Amino acid sequence: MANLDWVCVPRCYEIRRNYLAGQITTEHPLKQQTVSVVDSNPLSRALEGTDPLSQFARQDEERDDPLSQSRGEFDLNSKRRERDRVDQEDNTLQWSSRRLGILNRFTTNEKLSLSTSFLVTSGSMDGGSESIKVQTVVADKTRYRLEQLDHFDDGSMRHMMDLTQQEYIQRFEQLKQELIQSWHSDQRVKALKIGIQCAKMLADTTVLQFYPSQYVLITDILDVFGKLVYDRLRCKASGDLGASAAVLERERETARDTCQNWFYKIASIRELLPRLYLEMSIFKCYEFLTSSREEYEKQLHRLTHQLRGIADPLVSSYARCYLVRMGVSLTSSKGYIRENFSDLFVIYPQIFRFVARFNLHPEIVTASSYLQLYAPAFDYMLLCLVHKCELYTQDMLKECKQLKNNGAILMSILSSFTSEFVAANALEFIELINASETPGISKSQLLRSLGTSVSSCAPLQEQRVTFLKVAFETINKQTDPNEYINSVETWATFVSQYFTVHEVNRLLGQLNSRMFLGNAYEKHYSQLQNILTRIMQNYRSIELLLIQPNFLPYLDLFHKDSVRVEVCKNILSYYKQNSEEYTCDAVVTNALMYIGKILNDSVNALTVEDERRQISQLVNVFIHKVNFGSDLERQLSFYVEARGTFSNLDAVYGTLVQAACKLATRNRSKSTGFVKACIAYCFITIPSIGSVQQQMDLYLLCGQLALRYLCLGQADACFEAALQIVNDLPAATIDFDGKPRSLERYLVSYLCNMLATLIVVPDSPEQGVLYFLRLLVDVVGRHEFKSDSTARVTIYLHALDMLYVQSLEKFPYHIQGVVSNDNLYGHDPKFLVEVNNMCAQVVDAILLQLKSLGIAQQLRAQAELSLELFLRIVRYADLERESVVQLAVKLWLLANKAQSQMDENTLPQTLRSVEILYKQVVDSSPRQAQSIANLLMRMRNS
Amino acid sequence: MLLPGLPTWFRIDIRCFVCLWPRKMSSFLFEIKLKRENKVYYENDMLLGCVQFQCSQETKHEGIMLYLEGIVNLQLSSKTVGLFDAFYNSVKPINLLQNSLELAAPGKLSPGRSEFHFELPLVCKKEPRMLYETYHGVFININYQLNCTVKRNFLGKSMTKLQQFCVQYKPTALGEGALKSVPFSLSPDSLQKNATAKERLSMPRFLITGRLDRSESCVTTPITGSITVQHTEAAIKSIEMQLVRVETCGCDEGYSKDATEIQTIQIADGNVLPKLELPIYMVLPRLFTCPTLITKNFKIEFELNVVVVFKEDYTVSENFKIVLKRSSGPVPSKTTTAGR
Repeated sequence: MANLDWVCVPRCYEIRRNYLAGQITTEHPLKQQTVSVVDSNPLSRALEGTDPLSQFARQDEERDDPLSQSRGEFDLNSKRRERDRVDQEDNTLQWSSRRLGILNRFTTNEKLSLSTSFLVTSGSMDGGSESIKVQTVVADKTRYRLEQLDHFDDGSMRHMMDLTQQEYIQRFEQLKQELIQSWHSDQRVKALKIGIQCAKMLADTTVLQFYPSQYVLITDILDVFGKLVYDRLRCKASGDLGASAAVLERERETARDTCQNWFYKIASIRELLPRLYLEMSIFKCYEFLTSSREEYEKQLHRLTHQLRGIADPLVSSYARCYLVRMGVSLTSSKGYIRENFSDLFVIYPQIFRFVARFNLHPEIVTASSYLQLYAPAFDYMLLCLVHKCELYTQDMLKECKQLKNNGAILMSILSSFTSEFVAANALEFIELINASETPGISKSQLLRSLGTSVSSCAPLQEQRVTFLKVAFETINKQTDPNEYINSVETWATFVSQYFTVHEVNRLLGQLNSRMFLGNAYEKHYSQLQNILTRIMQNYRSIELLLIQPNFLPYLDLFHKDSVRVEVCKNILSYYKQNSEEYTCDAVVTNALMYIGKILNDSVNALTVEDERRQISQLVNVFIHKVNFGSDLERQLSFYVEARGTFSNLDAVYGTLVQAACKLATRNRSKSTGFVKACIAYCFITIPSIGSVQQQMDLYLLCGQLALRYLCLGQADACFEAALQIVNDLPAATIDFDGKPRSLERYLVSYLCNMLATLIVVPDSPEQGVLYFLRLLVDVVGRHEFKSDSTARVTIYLHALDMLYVQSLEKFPYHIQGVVSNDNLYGHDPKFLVEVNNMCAQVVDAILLQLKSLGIAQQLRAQAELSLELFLRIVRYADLERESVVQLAVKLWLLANKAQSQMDENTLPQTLRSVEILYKQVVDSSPRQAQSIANLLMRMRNS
Repeated sequence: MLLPGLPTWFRIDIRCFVCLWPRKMSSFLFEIKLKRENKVYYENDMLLGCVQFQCSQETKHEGIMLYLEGIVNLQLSSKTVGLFDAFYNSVKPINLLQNSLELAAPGKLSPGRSEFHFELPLVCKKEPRMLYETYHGVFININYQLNCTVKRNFLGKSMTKLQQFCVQYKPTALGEGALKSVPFSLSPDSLQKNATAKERLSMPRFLITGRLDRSESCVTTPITGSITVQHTEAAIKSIEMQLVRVETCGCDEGYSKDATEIQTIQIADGNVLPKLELPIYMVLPRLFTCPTLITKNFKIEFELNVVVVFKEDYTVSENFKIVLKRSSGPVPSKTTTAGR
């Protein structure tokens, strides 16, 4: 077969490296841009709120129509410019942040009803509004308007019953649009009427659990109305730019007039609730009537008192909330808020009269959810009261103490007052909670709130221990496990943040014993999970936690597998974030091993790839962090143990092999015994890995490592094992995004890497000359490539490179201590003959492949590869042999045939490189230069 | 003519003219402007202002006249005097002011804008020798207006513009009674003197107390006071304040007295908590109220009703006579409403 007379020529020129120009950069060029995803779990989010569909709808609602939005922005800008007297309103008092929360929290499935004369149900305008237009032109406007105010209950009034919540919200949106529209089309009385009708609906408490949301929807409309009125007056009062002072004064006078008209008009509304709400909604306009702060306050006080006339405590509370909301934007004085609370405390018992009724009729609404309805209003008012003002805090606490059934207000105090205040009076609060016996508000709710509060700001150092003792006495008194776990949940943060690990341990112990009773844990997985998370989040040393005697038993509370796995994952990820760099404590390692084992055992054939990857990643982190310092043996035995434990996780095995390799490099002793042990460990471990690709990589790595430490036998074994499994490599793997990715390129680069390594591997005395190369060529020859693939040729070409290096007197690189073939054979002619023969064989194989590429119509590839071969021949082979020269010329011609399909530069560049070679060798080896020149001549002639 | 009982401000709209007079494309507009923006005047003031004309081409006219009028319109109600009497015995209106002024003799108005300034004294020369405050009620109306008429040749209709203005009293101090509060209390015993003892027994027990801060108050300040439900057996539905005007017309032979509601305002909604003091706060509507007026020919008085409505639709009320005065300066009473 080998009819080619191949002889390698010695290299007689210097090899130079051409360095690329470098550039200094501050950013890592390979670093990818990170995208942080916040709260990626859509399921849990959906569970918190109502059904996801209605949520979308609500989001829609959040968005105003673009016009009014842009206008809103404009208003905002202009307001910003003139905001001189209104204090900088910070976000805490912003209502908008709360309204969405309320809408999401208070929902109902019951049917709602709505009465209005302004809704257009079908596409056409209803008759009512048309008649308004007609009449306003002809008839007496004033009279008409005044009459209209008092007469809603004409024929146009429409009662809409049986609306779902969604429809109800939609109707209000329509009403809002209608209001804006009528305002802009100069029908301001109609706008006012819409406002009044809406405010009237606030008296309707038939669907109690929806009332807070109803309030939000309606006050939205009132806000819009108030804003329209205010902006209009503002615009009037500021007058045209450049107007004279007298004109301005006159304009201001008109604005004042108009403003007063508005107040007169609203003062004549018959019903109390709409009258008050409307006045509150345009309360800001008092600014045009008076500039003195006392006047505002007087008005606020008056409104506060008038609100006493509303008998329903819920309606009244929310009306007060609205008043406070309007008030805070105008004055920083808190007197009127305090006044509101005084009134609220008077009507407070009334609330519990309702509660008592609902206790008897829980089918309407349960007592506790009824009290919940008050929370948003109370919270907001309290927040406004104590915002940047501590005047009334003690006062409120005192009043709260004297109140019967103070649970509801206490709850709001806990959530609204600054945590500094709560912390300062922590013991007092505990006492209050202890004493509180409010129907509908359980102690656990209060304790929970207190826990949250002290978690963000702890009581004074010296009080803490007593406080904790007292608090837990109270908490432990809760007999119902549900109540118990609910109250204790928020305390976990506090305990883990401010106390030693013993307290944390004790807390865990208590939880263990309490939750174990009667299998209470089964119903409270989420709370238990939460507690653990909080502890891990806040306790500074996760290692210390792990070695607490109550920690692992706590894990045993999670009987449900999925939860247990979740918890373990959580622990490991906190370990990943919070632990120190290395761990060497055996107890910690054991605990983590135990946790990892749980995860490992959860993995089975059905586990999804992503889950498997997550778990592996977490375990990997753990393995990397275990470090016994100079005790390498122990480290290795840990790896052995880990291998036994994490049998289901391939990725972990990969890590273990790499870790063992790394361990080997840390060996400082002269003897290679430990390195051999490491490599043996790897050699045993690698076959258990599923992925052939990973196996190959690791074998090569181990082989290289063994070579480095002069363990030639081990290296040979590794390389052989690697080559043996090449043919098991699948043609393609599945990518992360589910597309198949061909492994051909990987194989080519892998084998090239292998070839580069093999250069320095000395031949084993047991095998023939260049055993591994033969094996490699053989394996490649048997490997199935696609018919149009160039991979095989590429590998062969590189094999040719390797062979040529073997023919050199001195190899370009060595491994220190390893006697490579150049020294082994000492440039022996027999060896060279062997090499030349193999070169000829490889070239033959290449030619065969080129032919089959031609058959597969891969002309371009064929041409390019033949040029590659051509160049190698010119460089490596002795060109005085006729058969070689002929082959070279043929290859040249072959490439020329496909010239049209190739890059136009390819051929000239090839020629140029031949010329360069000529110049390189012309001095040192005139003979070779001559033969190159001859070849060039023949190429030209042919 | 004017319908009684209706406020007649802005009755004539410029647009009406445009559509009534489509003969030529030329526009002819005019209006009466008063110097005072709020149009509030006191007796003996000078009414200053001008009539502005705006025409696109030369316009002929037969003279421009300006009339000043102040009239008290009285009407007898059929309810009190009987239909027949009411029909025939309509009381003659009382003229308080009557004055006229020729702004221009017959001639032409040049194109563009032309103004005629005027100055008229607001003085009542005949009986009752004073100008009453502007008032719009059901049976009594006190109205002041300027009327500008452009006379035209026999083919053209003459054109008229109205401008109303308000007359108010100069503020005076409130009397002694002003500072005295008026206490009241409502209970089954205090009510329904005409109810039989049996009826009274069947009534639920309740006691509602309260006070009005003043019996005499100023028309521009709200009526204030307080009301407290001390105890009640029956649930309260609503507590309301009703403002009532009492108009008396006529003299010896024909005479009618009518009480009509001006406005009702709710001060408590639902069964309010006992012992909680609820404020009474009522803003008096402008135009429909004026200082209490008692003259030879007619009387305008005001009353206040506190109405308590119980759940079972019992209604209990208490009546107060109140005296209104003008004790503080003019409130701008431009009659546009609803923030134009």
